[in-house]
Amino acid sequence: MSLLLGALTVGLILALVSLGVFLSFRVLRSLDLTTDGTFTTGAAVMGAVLMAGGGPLLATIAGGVAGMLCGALTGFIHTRWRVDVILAGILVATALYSVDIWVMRGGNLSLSGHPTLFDEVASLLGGLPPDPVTLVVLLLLVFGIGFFFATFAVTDLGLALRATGSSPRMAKAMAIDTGLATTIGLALANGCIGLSGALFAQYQGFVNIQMGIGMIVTGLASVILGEALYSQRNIRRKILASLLGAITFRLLIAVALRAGMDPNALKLVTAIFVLAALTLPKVFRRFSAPRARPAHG
Amino acid sequence: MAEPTLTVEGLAHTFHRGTRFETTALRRVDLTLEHGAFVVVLGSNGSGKSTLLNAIAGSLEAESGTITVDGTDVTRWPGHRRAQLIARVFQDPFAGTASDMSVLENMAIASARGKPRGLHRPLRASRREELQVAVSTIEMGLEDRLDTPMGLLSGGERQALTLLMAMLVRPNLLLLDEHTAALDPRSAEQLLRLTEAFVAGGKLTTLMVTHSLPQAVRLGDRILMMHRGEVAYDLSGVQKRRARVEDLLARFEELRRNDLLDDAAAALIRESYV
Repeated sequence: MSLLLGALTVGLILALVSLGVFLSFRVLRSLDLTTDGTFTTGAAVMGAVLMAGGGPLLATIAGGVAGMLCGALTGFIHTRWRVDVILAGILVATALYSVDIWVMRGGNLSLSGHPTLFDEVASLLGGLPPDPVTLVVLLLLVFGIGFFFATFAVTDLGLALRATGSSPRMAKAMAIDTGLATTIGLALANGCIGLSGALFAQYQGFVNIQMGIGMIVTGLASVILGEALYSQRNIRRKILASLLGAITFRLLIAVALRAGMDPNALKLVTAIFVLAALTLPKVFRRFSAPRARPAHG
Repeated sequence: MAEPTLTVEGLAHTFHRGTRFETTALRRVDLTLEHGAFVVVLGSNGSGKSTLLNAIAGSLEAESGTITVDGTDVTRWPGHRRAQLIARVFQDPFAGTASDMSVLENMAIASARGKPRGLHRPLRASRREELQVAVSTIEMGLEDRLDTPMGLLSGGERQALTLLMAMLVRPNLLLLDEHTAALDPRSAEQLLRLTEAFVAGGKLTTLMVTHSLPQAVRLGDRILMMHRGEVAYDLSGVQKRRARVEDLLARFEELRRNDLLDDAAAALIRESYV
């Protein structure tokens, strides 16, 4: 039971990474490698604010805002200075490593002795058991954010962001500033990822400089799994699918670990999963009859 | 009288300047389009007609020259900003619409061209009805498929919608970039009829680039024939109305002969003096 609860909790927290990666990779069609850096930075900034006595709510929000700034920086470097988005992301993520150490005053920061967001809510509710409270808080928060994005996706600005990713020429012809749209999109994506890092650190009780490594791959795996299992044409369902994909992915990992998988193999397995998901459909297509493509003419 | 809708002065552009791939696409183009004019630009490959269109739309920044739309100098404006005044239909049916988004979503994007894009929700029921009526004007039955992803439509359907989207917010200037070239003959004919109806109905100032001599004869009130980065012939009024495909062919043939003469002369000079 506690294993299931733990997997669900972590799955919900990482669903925000999945949502961020969905936004950058699928909606904007940009592979944003800021992700690994942003996750840690969100946690580090949250930790620093918590240590400074800012309270867990403010600290968590600060983590999300820090993430947005990281994404905006990558977007700015990419769109204004015409640096390839992958390189821009790597540069920002690398630079963030130093920033994180300054912010945390070291490579590790223990949060013990400081009540987290989850502690705070549990005590507000008069001493309910913390684990189920954490789960409910996260459910509301994560699906609330998902609902926000589903609504945002059909606003004028949301449509402009999606058009920028889907057809940049059309977007420009429709008077959309695609550079600005990409920057806003990357800021929103990294806001989710920074928030996820802030929540993750509070859940595990400490911030570690290494905690973001491989987050982009985990995010990709979640998005792809979500698409395979739940995806629909409509953008709301796709957003939901990316959240559910992350949770399912976490549950699968919990089952695999329970069955005796070496925890050190986790990143290897995740990477192989993403590689297989991206390449196998092409391999299968080569061996089967050519599929009907959308009609031309 | 009112100012002309489009004024192009001294437009020139050379690609890959300073390398051995140097190509002068536009030598010098001066052009004025009065309000409501429908001008067809003809030219062979490499004549500069596409470069001219791209330079006007702003997807290419020309090396020299100025471009003015309804009195506003847009020469330094990036393409997306010019799109507030200038609408465009591409040759590629996949370029003008977003495949991943529904017909309705594409229409909603078009209905906000040139307006600030905030957090309004343009797909609400009342707007949906308005856009549905607009889609029904192209008479393809797409008004019943508003939630279909654009990627599932045919090239002809997508081009017709692109044309409609270009006009949803009335543009000061409409650019048609060989917009029927990628379609089968039937869809091309359908789109051409739609183009005639829309341009005439909205009295739109239009610049259409085409490969097709019959289209040039049939549409518009003025023909520009481009050759080697310049306007070689400019037919309007009676000249345009009387122009037949054979006449246009004859003029192109003349241009080609002059080129050959030039080349022959150049060869002669080279032999004699080098």
